[in-house]
Amino acid sequence: MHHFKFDQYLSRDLLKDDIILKLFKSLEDLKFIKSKKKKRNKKDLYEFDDEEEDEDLFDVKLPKGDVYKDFETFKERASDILYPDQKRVRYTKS
Amino acid sequence: MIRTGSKIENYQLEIIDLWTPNLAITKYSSDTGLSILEDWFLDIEYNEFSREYEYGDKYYKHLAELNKLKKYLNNVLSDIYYRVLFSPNDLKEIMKPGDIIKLEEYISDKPFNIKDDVRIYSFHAYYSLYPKELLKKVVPEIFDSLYATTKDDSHFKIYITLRSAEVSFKMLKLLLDSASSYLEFKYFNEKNKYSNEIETIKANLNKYEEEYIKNSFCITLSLINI
Repeated sequence: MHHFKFDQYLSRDLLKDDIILKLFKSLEDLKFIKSKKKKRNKKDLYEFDDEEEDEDLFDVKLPKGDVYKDFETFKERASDILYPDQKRVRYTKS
Repeated sequence: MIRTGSKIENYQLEIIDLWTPNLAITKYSSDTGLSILEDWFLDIEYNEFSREYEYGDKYYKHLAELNKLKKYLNNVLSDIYYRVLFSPNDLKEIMKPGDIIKLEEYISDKPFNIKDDVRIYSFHAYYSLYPKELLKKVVPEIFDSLYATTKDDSHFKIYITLRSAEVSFKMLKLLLDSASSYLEFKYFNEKNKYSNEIETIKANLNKYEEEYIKNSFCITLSLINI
């Protein structure tokens, strides 16, 4: 893989529009699931609850449920998109 | 509300970028003569109607969450002066980056016209581009988890920038739904006008998802200057 300080190489030359879109399409879509409302026992009707607004949040799930697996899959696909020549070399060696 | 001493004639928005034909990133000019505090109380948002008095506090809470995102992304539009403008009209036909929109009055919760037939729906960038789901779910559950083991990985930055753009795009449509419901409630007589236009904006947003992702990605990674 590529062991360099990557930020320095993130340029418009490398990340052209079509490359960005290919990278985006290589991601599996996140799932947004309406979360169940939590039951709360308020002592006082007028008690302000800091977390109350969070009940409206969606749960965000990765398609396969595993963040590391999802990232590894992305890395493989991204390497093929960003460095197609290096991919060929890598596969040839193996 | 009496606004003694405010330089209302200087209240203007500069077009920073057009991400899609119906979505513009803008920023208030710095010479508005307004304090941030003044903005908070004059510039109430659609989903704030029941808690207007907590507006400033809410910004600080959201900003604290945004700081966690800033750890990962190069460029977060967290400044309170950034605004996202939507319109059912094609904005690319009537404006370009660098143009100035002169406002006749402060932006309120009501959509405003910049020409006779071009209506604008305005939102703060800090919560419309960076929704709570991104800050409270994706950052801790995905970004923080990965960072512990892959922070030096070459693809980490691209991955989290794309994921941020994805969540931002998907949640924008819910934000527009929320605005539509609010406008129906508050401006009952004009409800069809606004809700129909918001449906148009949402439909157009879907058509230009790729444009949104690409522009969001480039600004977030600082690949283009703003």
